[in-house]
Amino acid sequence: MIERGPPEPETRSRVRDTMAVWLVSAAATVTLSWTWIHTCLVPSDKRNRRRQEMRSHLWDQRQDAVTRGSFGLTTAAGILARLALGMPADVSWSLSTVWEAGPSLTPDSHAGSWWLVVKSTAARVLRGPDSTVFWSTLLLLGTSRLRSNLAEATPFPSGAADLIRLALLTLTILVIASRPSLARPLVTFTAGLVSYAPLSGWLPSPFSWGLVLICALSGLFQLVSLLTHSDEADHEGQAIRS
Amino acid sequence: MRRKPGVLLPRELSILLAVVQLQDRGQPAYGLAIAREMEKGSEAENLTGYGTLYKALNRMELAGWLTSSWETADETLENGRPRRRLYEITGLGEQAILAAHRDPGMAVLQPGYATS
Repeated sequence: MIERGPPEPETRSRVRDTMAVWLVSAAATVTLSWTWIHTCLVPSDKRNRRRQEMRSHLWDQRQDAVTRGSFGLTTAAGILARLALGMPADVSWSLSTVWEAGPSLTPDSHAGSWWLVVKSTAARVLRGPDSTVFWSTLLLLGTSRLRSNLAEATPFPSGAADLIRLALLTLTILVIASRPSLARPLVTFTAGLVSYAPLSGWLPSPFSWGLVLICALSGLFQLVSLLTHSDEADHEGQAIRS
Repeated sequence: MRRKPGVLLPRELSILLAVVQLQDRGQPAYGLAIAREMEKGSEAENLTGYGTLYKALNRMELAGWLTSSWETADETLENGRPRRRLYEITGLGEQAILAAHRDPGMAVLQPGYATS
């Protein structure tokens, strides 16, 4: 029987380094994902700015940790602690920004909420195999938004959006051709990746109806904001831009 | 509780002071640098949440105490670093620091900061 001694110091060090990189990357990804989520309904100029600032901040923080020699668990914990501490402020900032935005809200963002409502509702209502065509249409529409959403400020590297889109489309076409019964959930999932509609197909009903409700309220909220804050928000929007 | 307009909160004052101190040393004032400077100035190792920091920076820019701009692409090309948002204090921001210094009830001054 061959006895195995303790791992070489070099191997241990390599494992530790790999773990450190993995931990910090995971913490940064969680943070960027949270930023991506809480800024979803924020007008595009402020949304892009916040996402880019966060990306830059995390990059700087990682470099800073490397320089200080504290890269690893401490850095990851620091990132997550800062994320958690700032979450209430993130939510209140996003809500107040959406509320105040009014006319500066882009049509895309406004339509996006209603698109979510339509997709989520449809995902719950349409059940039969006849809806495959409907889901395929949603997929095509959805993946076009997926591309811009992924490319914008998610943790994914640039170019990944195109690859993911192409892979999903190919996979879906193959599945629709060979196993029609799997088409609906798959298409629901892939089409909904752009927003949160896939959840409506797979999560239990209370969750998906809750999602529909939140999206509908969000859409109404934006609509009311749009109608009631036009002058005030216009001035604020100009002030921000200037 | 709603805050009075124009009143500088302790956290905002510490952000302004951090920006001033960075500028005095000729260093750029961006998110991480400001956060580090704030943590350096505090007695305990107080962490600043990302959301707290950027919400405050946004509010202070709207109030006219700070201005900001993206750094140019040339500065980031060397190592693929994402562009930083650079902050600068305005005349209004400096006045706000002086006002806070004159009226300590309005905000808590960071020890060691002297206004002339």
